Amino acid sequence: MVNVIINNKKLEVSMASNKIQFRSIHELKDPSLNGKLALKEFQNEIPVDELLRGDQSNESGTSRRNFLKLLGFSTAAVTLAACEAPVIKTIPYVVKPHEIIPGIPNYYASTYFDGYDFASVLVKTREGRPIKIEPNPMANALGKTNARAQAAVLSLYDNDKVKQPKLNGKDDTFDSVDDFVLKGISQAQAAGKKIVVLSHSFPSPTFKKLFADFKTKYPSAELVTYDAVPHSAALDAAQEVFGQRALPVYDLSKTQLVVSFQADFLGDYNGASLDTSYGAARKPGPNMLRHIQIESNLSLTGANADTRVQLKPSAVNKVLIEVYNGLNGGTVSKEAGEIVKELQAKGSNAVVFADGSKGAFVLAHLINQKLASSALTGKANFLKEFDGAKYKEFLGWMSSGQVGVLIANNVNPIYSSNKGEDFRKALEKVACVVAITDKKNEMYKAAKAVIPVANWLESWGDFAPQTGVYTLMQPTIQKIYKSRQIEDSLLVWMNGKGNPANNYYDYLKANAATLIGGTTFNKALYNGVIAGGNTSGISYTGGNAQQAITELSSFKSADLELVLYTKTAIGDGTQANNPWLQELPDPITRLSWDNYLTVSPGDAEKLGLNNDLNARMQLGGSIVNLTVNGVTIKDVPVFVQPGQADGSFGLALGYGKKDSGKVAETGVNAYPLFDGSNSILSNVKIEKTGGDHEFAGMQLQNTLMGRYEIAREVPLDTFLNVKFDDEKLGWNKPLEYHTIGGAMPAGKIDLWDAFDDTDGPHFNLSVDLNSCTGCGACVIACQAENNVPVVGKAEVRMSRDMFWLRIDRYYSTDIPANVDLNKDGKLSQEEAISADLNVPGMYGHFLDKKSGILNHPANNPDVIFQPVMCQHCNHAPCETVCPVAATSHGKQGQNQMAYNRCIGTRYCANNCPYKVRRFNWFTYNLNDKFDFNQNNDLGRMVLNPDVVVRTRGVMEKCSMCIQMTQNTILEAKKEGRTIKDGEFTTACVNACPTTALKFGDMNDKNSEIRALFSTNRRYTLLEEIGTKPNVFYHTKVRNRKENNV
Amino acid sequence: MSGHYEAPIREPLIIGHKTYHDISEDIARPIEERAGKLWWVSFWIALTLFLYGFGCIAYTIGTGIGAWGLNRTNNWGWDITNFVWWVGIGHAGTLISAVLLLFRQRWRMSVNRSAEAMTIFAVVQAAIFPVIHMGRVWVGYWVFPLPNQFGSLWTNFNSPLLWDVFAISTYFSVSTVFWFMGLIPDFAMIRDRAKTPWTKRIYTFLAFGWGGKAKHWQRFEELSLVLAGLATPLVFSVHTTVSFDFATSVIKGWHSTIYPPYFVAGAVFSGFAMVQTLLLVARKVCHLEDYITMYHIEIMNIVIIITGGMVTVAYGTEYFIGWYSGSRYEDFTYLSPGAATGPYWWAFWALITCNLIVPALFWFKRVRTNIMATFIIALIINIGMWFERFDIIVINISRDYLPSSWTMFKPTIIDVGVFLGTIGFFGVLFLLYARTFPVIAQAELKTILKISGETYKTKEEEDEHH
Repeated sequence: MVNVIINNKKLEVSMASNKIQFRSIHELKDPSLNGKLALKEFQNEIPVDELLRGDQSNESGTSRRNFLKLLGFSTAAVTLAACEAPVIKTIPYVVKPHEIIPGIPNYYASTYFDGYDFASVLVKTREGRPIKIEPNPMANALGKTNARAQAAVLSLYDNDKVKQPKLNGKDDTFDSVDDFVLKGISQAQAAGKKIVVLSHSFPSPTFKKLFADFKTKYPSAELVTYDAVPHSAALDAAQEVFGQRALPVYDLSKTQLVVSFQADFLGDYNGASLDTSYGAARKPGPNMLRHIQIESNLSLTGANADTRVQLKPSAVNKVLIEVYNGLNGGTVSKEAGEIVKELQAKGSNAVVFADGSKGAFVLAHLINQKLASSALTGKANFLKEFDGAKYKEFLGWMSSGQVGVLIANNVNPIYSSNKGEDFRKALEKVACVVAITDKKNEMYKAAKAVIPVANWLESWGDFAPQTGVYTLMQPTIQKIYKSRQIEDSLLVWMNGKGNPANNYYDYLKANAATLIGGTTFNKALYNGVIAGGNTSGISYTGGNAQQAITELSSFKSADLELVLYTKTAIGDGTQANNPWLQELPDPITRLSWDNYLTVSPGDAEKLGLNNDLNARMQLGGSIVNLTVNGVTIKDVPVFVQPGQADGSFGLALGYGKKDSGKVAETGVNAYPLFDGSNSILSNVKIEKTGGDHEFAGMQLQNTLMGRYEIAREVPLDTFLNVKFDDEKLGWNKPLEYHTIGGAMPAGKIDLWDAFDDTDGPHFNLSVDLNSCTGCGACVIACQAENNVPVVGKAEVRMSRDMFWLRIDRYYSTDIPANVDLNKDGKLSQEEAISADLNVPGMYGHFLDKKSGILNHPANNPDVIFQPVMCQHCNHAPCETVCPVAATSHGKQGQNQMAYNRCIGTRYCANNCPYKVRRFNWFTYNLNDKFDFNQNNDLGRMVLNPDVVVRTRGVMEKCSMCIQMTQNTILEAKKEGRTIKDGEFTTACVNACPTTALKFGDMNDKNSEIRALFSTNRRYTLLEEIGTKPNVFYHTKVRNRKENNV
Repeated sequence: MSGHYEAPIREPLIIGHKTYHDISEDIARPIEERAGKLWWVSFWIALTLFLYGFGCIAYTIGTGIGAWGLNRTNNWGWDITNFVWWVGIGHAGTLISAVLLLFRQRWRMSVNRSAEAMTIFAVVQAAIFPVIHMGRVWVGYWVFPLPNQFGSLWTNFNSPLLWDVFAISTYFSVSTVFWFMGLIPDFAMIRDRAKTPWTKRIYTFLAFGWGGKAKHWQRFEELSLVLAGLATPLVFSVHTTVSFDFATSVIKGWHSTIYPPYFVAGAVFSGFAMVQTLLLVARKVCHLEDYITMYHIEIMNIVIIITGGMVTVAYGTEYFIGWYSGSRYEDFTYLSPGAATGPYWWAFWALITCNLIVPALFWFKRVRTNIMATFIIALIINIGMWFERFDIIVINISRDYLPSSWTMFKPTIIDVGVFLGTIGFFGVLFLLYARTFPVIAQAELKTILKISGETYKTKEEEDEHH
């Protein structure tokens, strides 16, 4: 009875929406109590009156004296208060989480997978925030991180992502979205329509099992795979040759010859970069890997080749066919014949890669079978799952109205396919479209229900990336916004709402137990990678060469052909809204924030296309409308690319995204040209528009201007047979100065006293130009570790990038017929001069912008990459010139920068011969003019708390990751032990997939860095200046016979 | 002051049969009369430029050095170009007043006051640039070796920039004292003629109680000599120190032992050109033709020929050493895209034309005694010397060691504004000076009236005839 009355009362009150809020029972009794208490809170009122009145004259108020005193005081106080810096609050833990100690990073093994890239990684977290991705050393090649994996941590903190589930265009809860989907599913079932999960490749055994369960519950459910860059030709070829839709896993570490036809195997070819084993096989020696690349675009892989042949796609196909025929006893042209000879000589130590259509892949596989290539490991790579036939079938279902529910898992075919508009129209026939998406993109707009994607750093998961490898993914941060991974959604839609089984973690744990053999789940999770998963391998089962040759020959040769490719930084565009990646200069063109049509110099001249440098030495380029098979892409900027085959163009996918964030909007969308399988297109037309495109470039001087001692290279023959310091032919002769007392080694002549570097560690960094592939992982790793700001396209165009570490790329020059070559086949400035005696005019002739040869990359240039960071000179030019000693020499060999002391005269940067110092021209954080990750609180969560964010007006540069080396020292000190070799490391060294970068303590007698220092390939950059750097380089060795280009 | 006889063959330094009173009248006239229309027009133009430049400076300090056209390779551009240019201009004044005083060059008396004023105003302009080019102006005082609360932090005495701080501030203070000291008797003359009470008060203060007693004159002369002795080394040290900014660096084209004498010669060259530019205008506007005669103009043109020749030799030496050094970086800088045929060919040839070819016209007496020609050539030299500094700074660092870093510099509207602002500021100061200060050291001039005045010269000649 009483209860009812109370309930009634409550009901009345709430219906009138006139609730009484009270904080204590006393307040309920006396509602004015709070007001009374508040009045009493500051009992001691400020005695303003007394102060103003003064003591002596109670009646007359303020005395003049006191008034002036107060005025003076308050003015001073206000002025001082105005000087105070803004207060940023630090909030301590009220209850400290068990595993977190503020200031100490935690590392978690996980798996980076965003539908496109895959890597087994370690995630560094600080106070619960992931701030850095590191390679997982237990996963070998699968544990290497490329630039995109390194940058992936920033994509977690993307402020443009969808933050909230939506229903019918309005913010809503998961609850109502689930209701909507469940209703859609039951309606679809009732109508006998299909329930389709459209996902990117998802090589997760537990997800597969979950879907199988889902299908058991809803028999009309289908799982369809859609990838923007699906590798479908490779998969189709694998189906034919190996009998399964899995790509072969290669290992080049024992290979001695690789011949690649269009295959960018250091990039995205084959689902995984081969750079680790490639780097291992490129160690100079008698069995050094020789790399021949036959391609149209100058790819990152081609740039690393010893011999590179540039041909347009139809001609590449011809050579491939000839090589196949040659190996099988047919007659071949001279060029292909040489390749055949080399392949036959190396036999099973050789391998052939091809890219393009299915036929090319089939032929390459069959050649490898013929050679019995040992580069094939017999393992399979399961990362790519696209099935063209199935997808086509799905499109049929959709357009014929057979699909009742479509759950699109982080795919956007409207943007990333050539039939985007058709897809959008077909979507209208689906009653219930659920988009699991991270951006407010086309799918977001087309869908009724939207669920934000849970980032891989917020999700659970497992993967079977290749034969015998099983990896786990674990969340390293609480979900930042209301997102939900697809597995959790499927569980809800399968089991119904509120079911205790709706927990993917439990589901995963249960299923993983069947896959990890004897180990415990926790152990597997701790390691991140473990033997297990899918154990089926790959072996030759068939392959129709004749059909492949017919298919390849049917490719219509045209005057102009187009090769679509993916760029090192952006890939398929999954992370296009990541400003680190957009700003990372392309390793070849060194342009950032753009994609463009790469055109050969010859074609550019023929078609009237040009690139011009402006008064700030930045590039402008013609703009064209590009038409392929009736599809036109408007306003494509043109970049004249040395090394591009005549008659071919290149254009990168993944750019020009609309509605996916401000950063992603740059460039043009090339997907409308891409049918999902043929990346090589014929029948290309271009039409020049009047405009001029403004590029943002990092490096506009493409050649070394005859200064070959900067980025050194030597042919393998010379390296093996000639002593490095041979008086005449020495290829790495130590620098000597001729003094009055005879020749002296450069290091011995010095104005300065040396620092005492014998006490404690003395750090050196080694850069091997032979192993560096130019992949850019170190650049992003450095950016992430050291809070390097993004400056945006306009500022890069002002040549004001902020990179602490850059990878310079140089092309070689053409050699005129009348000039004798020196031993390395290059033309130095001096030789150029001596070839023509008219010296001043000569310089003009050779160095002229238009016709000068030194200034002009050859049509088929050799490419050399050179990472350059602060050289940490022992006699640093920057240190002597700073008026306030803001930059000075560290005890451990570093050249240190005290940001707080810097007044910004920039003299140090002028006096740096390596130009590695970067000035903060503006405030790059919390400044709306630089609206990138450092301008919002979410994006700033990626900042490394161990490294200060620099203010405007100070100089900054590489610190040799002093925060990491100091940490190592302190850890060892705490544990009371000496530091082992290899413990000292830097962000760039950690990230390098080919171990081109090495770091260590020179005072450790047994350290690897000391061994590297004493190798004969070692040289110092600009040694003659006498800066005595703590960074040294190793000469690149090119494995080719001369005049074999 | 000096001897009381001058050979009659020498041209008179004061023409037009002046008496002592005439001189007082002529010199005081611009101060006592109302300003003409021309003065006001010039003043408003200068003030507008000054305010615009001030706005540009405020904008730079407010947003960052990125407001200028600098980049990661060209960390200095117009800022230091303008700094060196203005410092160079500031060289003629002290040279005229100190060095020529010691050498008893009487012709200096008609021009030293304005030349020194120009020096001081130019150094003020120059001093603006090292201050505003700092990324953090607000902590710029750290360049001074102040005892501080930052712990054991001290300035880096190895840094040429620090040497600059001392060199410029010493030069500025000594020049100012020297200048002001010379002004005292003249201020006293204005004071004595002043009619309005405020004018009287101000000039009384400025005259420091000058009474014209023999003892005053004696001390005046002594101090003149002492200060001249102090200032003379400064004439050479300032630009030598400025040249160390470049010469002690490791950048090719900067790292050059010839820089100190080359910079000093260039500075005097540009300083005299600026004196010509200003005095030819002042002479006309203030009707001082009788005091700044064609003889004065010609003799300064001869100084320009000499210093210009030194600069030419320096260019030649740089080229020779560039080739002779055998360093490919060095000869690249001098003989190739760096300069003559590279993207900055226009700046290089502007320098050669303005500093070598055009000033050579002064070898012809007809040219160097022509006022219009002198004015135009002096202007061209000023432009040429600006290009010299631009070439040294921008060309050399835009093409430095690693070709990957090569960029080019192009000024922004803010760069241009700051430069024009300093020209405006200089104009404002000089115009105010011309209306309030005696522009010729009349007290000194009066000492040679009877030696070198036209009346007395003709009288002497007549005496000799008889």
